[in-house]
Amino acid sequence: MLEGTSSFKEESIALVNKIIRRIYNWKFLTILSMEINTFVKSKKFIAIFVIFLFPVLVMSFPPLENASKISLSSFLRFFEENTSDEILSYWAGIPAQVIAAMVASEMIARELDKETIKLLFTKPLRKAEIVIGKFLAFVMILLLVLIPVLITYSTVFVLTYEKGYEELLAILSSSFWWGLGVILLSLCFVGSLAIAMSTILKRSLYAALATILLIIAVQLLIVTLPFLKNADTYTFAYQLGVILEEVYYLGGSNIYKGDPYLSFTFFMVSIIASLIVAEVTLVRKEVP
Amino acid sequence: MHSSSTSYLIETFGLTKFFGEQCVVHNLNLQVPSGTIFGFLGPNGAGKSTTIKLILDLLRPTFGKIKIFGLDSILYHREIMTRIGYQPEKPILYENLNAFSFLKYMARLYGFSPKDAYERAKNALEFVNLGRKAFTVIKNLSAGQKQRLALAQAIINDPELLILDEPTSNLDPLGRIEIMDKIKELVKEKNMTVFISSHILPEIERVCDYVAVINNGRLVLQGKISDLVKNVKDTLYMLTVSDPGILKPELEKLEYVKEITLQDNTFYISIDIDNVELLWKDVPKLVSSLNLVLREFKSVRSPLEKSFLDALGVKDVGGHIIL
Amino acid sequence: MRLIQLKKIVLAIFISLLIIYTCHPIAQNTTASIESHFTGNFSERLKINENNEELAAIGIPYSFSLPIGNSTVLKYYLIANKTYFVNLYGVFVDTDADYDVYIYNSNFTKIKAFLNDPGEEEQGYFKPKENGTYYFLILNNPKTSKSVRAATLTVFEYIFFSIPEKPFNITLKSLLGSNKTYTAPLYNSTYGFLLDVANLTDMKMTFNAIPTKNLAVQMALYQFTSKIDKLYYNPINSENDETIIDDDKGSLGEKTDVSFIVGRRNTEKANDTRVVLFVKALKGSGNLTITVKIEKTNIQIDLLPYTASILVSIIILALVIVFEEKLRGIK
Repeated sequence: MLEGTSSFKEESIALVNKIIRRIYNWKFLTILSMEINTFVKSKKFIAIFVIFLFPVLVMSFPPLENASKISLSSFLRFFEENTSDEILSYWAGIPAQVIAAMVASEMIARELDKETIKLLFTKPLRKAEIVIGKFLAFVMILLLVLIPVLITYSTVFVLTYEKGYEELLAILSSSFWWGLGVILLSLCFVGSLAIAMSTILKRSLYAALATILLIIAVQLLIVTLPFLKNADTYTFAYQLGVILEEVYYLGGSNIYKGDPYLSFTFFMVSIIASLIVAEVTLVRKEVP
Repeated sequence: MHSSSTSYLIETFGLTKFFGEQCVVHNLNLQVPSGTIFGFLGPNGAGKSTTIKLILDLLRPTFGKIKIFGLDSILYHREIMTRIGYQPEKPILYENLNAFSFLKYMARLYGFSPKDAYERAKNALEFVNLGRKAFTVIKNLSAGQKQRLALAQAIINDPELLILDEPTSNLDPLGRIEIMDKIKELVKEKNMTVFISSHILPEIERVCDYVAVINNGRLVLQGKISDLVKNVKDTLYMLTVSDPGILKPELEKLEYVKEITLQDNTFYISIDIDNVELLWKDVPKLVSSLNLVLREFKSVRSPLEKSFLDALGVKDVGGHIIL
Repeated sequence: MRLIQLKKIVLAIFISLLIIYTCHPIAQNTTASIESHFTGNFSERLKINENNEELAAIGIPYSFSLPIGNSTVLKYYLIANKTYFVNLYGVFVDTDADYDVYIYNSNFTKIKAFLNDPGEEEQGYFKPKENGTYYFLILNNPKTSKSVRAATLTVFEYIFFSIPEKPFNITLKSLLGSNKTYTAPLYNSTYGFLLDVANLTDMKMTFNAIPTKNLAVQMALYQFTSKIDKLYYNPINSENDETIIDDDKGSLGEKTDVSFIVGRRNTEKANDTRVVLFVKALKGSGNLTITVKIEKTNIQIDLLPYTASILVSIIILALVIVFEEKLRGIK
């Protein structure tokens, strides 16, 4: 009887060890942690942090006449109305997209340029582990920057209008997450595109430029197309607004007309498609 | 998966690579036996590095197939890479990391646990005598140290097959000898097969059992060194004396001498390999009988070098072979 | 100056201050000043007579801008045991102006008051116990308000739809009690319902309006917004209005219907759990009967193409990853 139970214990320990060993085989985690470590130790991280913190430093909220008697729900709506500007035109808009393109494109282009990709290609690694590891590292870097920045922004906003803990908690339990989600969606869209570009173009600068040009040029072109009705609804900023409006009060009802599920699907599918392109390009790549 | 059933670790079948219209590797049929130190020789631009890259699936062949450990090199790429270590021709390293972190990273990419990776990195650094530089940032290492680090990276997973592309190119003479000795040690201790590509013939001759020679993308020579040198008939000796003009006619009288060239007051004497003993007897006699001073007398062409030159179809006019 | 003269001056100043204080609106009790509006020239203000034309319409917004301390009164005819929704909104929201709403019955007895803080909209429910006229007094509160802003008052009839226990095809009988249909005279040609459909997500509601033969009506469904004047002053103009859900016009005696899917997200219109149903008399006069039908719809399928496309792209990525090496081998 005693032997039976001890062998069960041994078996379960062996199983746990097996699972742990399997996880070591998920080398994208190794690549992910290496990439994050490298980035966080560099000066770029601080620069990006400051750039993202910019709206907080500038404090561009319009004045609210008498904030002391505003109810919680009205304050939340006021917060959302003002924050939506920051989100759509800055954190999920062109300035942050440029930075995201630069950060993401560098990840693979640097390896190709310095030929360290040979070290990765001659290891028992799937190319997908390289692409996914680097993309996830990019996402984590964004979170590392965005979460403190958005919390700081919310705190400063609440303090500016002499509100308190209750208001901050209300913001952090709802508007914060949705805003973070929309920003992440936008920047991951750009980042995945930049990663795909960087597998094609060797230099990270070219890849970043190509991504930014693609995004801006496509949107400019779309607006000028004569046969497209409501062409300006097809820009990325508008589509992000459609998604944001699902939860955020934007100063009116239905300012951004559209189907948020469709917009979300578009962004998700684009991200996955860019990753597929990056993966296939790397798989077919020759490294002379 | 053990490859004891196949005697060759690397086999290429009609391996051909075109870059655009230029054929860089043509119909290569390489066979690298297991448990040997295999030298891959050729002049610059012959296609050595390209061949290695084809073997490692860094390049895709235009035609032909490659089998490593009996497995298709493309379809079983990851399985094969688990058992291979590769040192590229110029050290490719992550310059912003320190040596130890770099090796740990490489070990982790093989799937080793953090603890194993730590041990392996430590051992690898000690093996290449970089223990004291473990925490130096790689960009601050010297060229020789980087080369050794690159070797450490190649052996970190205790590979069955070690592929070294010009492993001693950045090293001083002492460093070169050290590395080659280390490689020999590796082969003995761990029963590794080593595939070395180089253009430094004497080094290859010193350590390798097998050799293949490539020229203009084609394999011109392949086999066991001991077998190859058996076929070499000629050898070359150099002789420097105080007054070469007097000695020359006497040398020409020796029957077994095939060819004598006088270059910069130095004689280059080509003879049959069987007549080496005779030459050693006659030359000092002649020099002393003519009251000359013997300055230098030695063999300049090893049998392997000779066979190499013959394979390349290059006339041996003395001097060093620079590839 | 002699002491007695000084005393006289001081007394005079004191009395004048007292008079000023008692007569000034700020000093006066707010309730007292409100009462005086009724006992004073109230009837003159409204010119009350038996002609129902002076009654305010259910569902129509009334806008005004009152000086501080001033008030206005709207008179409604309300039916007993119906629930009405009172909505006071406008530019004054989020400012330091403070509007309050008081409801008085036909005997001028205060029944209900909506007294939110300055800058806050007033929204609430009111269920009269008797049929009759009710007076809605809107006051720019002299004690707490600091500015003059515009405000709009709308009173809707409020209907809350609860989830039926058995499925579907329900008529109003099971929702509102004994009446199989809803019948009401239309005052001032428009009637507004505020319908709360929070419990009916994924269901389709169809409203059928059957007028008597001398009446032509129009129905329009809007998403509820506090800014009712937006709905009304640019009403039933389906092309440009961003909150309209559906509308239908009929000729004399002709049936009209509008429908609404609760919880559905479509490309043009947002949904809400509250909708406004306007019924407007276009021509003639008469009575109107409205029936409601509720059906279940299969709108879950709407999300399927979206999740499917995301899933398909993930599957393609997975396939590319799994067959990576074969992909590399393709010449």
